[in-house]
Amino acid sequence: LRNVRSALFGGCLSALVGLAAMSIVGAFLSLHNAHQLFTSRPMTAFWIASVFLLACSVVAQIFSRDVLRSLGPIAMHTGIILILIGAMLGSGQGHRLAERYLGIGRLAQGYLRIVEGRQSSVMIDENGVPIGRLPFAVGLSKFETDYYPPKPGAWELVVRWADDAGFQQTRSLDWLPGMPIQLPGTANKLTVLQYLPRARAVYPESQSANSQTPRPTAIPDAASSKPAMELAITDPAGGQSRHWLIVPADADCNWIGTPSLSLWLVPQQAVQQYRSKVTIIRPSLPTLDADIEVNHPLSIAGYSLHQNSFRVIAESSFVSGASEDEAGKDDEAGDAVASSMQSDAAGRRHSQHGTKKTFGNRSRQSPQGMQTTLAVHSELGLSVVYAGLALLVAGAFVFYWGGPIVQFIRRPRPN
Amino acid sequence: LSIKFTTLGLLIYAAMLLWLLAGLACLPRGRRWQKQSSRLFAGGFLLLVSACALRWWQAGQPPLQSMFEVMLTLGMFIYPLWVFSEKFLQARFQATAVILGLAVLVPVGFVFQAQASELPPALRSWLFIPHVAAYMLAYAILILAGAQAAMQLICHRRGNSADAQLCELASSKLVGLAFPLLCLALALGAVWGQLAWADYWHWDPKELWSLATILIFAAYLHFRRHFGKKYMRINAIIVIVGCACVIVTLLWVNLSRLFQGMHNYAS
Repeated sequence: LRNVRSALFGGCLSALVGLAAMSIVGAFLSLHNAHQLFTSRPMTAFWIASVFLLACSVVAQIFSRDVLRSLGPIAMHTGIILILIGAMLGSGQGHRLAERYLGIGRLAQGYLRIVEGRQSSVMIDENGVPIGRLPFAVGLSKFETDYYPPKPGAWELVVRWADDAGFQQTRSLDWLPGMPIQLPGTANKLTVLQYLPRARAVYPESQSANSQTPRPTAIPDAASSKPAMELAITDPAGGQSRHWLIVPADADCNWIGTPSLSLWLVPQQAVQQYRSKVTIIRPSLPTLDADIEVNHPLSIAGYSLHQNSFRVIAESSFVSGASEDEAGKDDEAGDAVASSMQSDAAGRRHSQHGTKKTFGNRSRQSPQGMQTTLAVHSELGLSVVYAGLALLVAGAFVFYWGGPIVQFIRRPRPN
Repeated sequence: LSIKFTTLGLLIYAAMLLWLLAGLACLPRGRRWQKQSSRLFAGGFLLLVSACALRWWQAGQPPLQSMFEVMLTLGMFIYPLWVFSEKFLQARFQATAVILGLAVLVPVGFVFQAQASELPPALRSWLFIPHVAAYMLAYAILILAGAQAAMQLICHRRGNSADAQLCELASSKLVGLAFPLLCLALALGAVWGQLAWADYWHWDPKELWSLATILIFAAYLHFRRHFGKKYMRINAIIVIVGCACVIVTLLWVNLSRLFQGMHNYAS
């Protein structure tokens, strides 16, 4: 029996040290490669061997002389066994086995991408490839983003453009006065000529704020709380056009350009929370309305739906129901804008839209289409993992804290 | 170098000064000096409590988000844990705790930026405080255990086996104290990961380093339970290796660009 115990102990210690070493190696790999490593066949064999070793240890402790004192280790080891079994059940292979032998047909994990006003039940993988259908559909009624209050006096220059897939990309630009920055989606370069943290717009005598084509410049104004920035756009041929980006007193932010390429001066505001307002549509069951936000998933039909990310869809591609002519107009406008900043005439046209009329008071929540991405995970094995974690923690506290606390309470007290 | 000319910074520098004096007061032998050292150590702790409270009030959230806040909290834990270890776990050599506290506070005072930032959506959870606080408490205890283990090796070298045995005992008791907290923090992190990222485990560098830390201390606890004090030096070396893993998990993973993962909030 002593030899068996020694062999068990040696096996346990080797497994612990080996797994610690593997964890350190895995930490130097990418998430994907680390996942591949720890779910590879040799590691699967290791996990199964670990379960066997732990089970032997639990049996040995149950039949030990002082089983009461071994309750902590029994709980801890049983907890780890449950965690490993739960993880195996939740894996892709576990799902295949559950379907084969238990008739539980579920997809292990994937994503749902839904545009506002539409619904989907098609699960996709990380690369957007469909992998199956959920037994219910999820409709996105609305997507909401909450922001922290803006920091007073902190503004950032942001470029927004539509990528090839029609999604709006946003990037905050790190700028220094006089330093050229490559604008994405175009060969043009942007240079910030000057930045006025407190400024107001002034109009040439021949124009007024109500003019159809106002070309304001900015001057410092200590009474103003809004900034202004003078920008230069340089095309590859060396041609340069100058523009003022001025945040009006009655606006939160401002921009120049077009929906497919625009430069924004916006207050620095961090995202506080984002949520998808969804409707779950189940066959022969009433629909269910729910909010899914970060840290607050929705559990339904053996799946949990988690708020993963969101994207803004550029206006031109979001109007998929529009006629080809209309779409053509949008594209034409987009192309014009990309090259727009080369000519003063075009610049005037865009600053007319941007600074004063249409978008002057526009909030950061753009009226363009929003697309949410929900991470969908099967809950198979999850409760087993949770039970294992609870046992592990309870066992550890009972074993390492329980004894000393009892000893402290029962200690002999001086009279 | 980031010197902080704020009330918060001044509190931290004052605490550092008191702890430096506490360390110097440990040098001469004698009860009177030891008492003075303990008083200075306690005074520094009170200043750090004020600094943490001020930071909490200023940022509107518990000081557990950035590296600056985490190390400040960790530094604050050192004194009460030392008092507990000295009283109940027979820990010795107060100078080690004072030096550790100072080592934790140096980057807080001179390296990390104190700028507060808002919590990103993933950190806005009821699990944020218990998960991070359990890890910080466990790490502070393990760092003290590492110091006791190091002192044990020094005592062995000097041939002072009585002190070495006391240090070894204190070190093992401290690891026993920290281990359930490590398990709790790991379990809370798993639950939080499931809620926020749809999975309780992601093979992320921070997760893997913290798993390695737990496994090393689990190996230590198994080894010591099996062999007792038979191989005292090996016991001490395992604890020191575990402490090195704690430091890597806490600092290197967050500060190095080598480890890109889902836990990069504090970078």
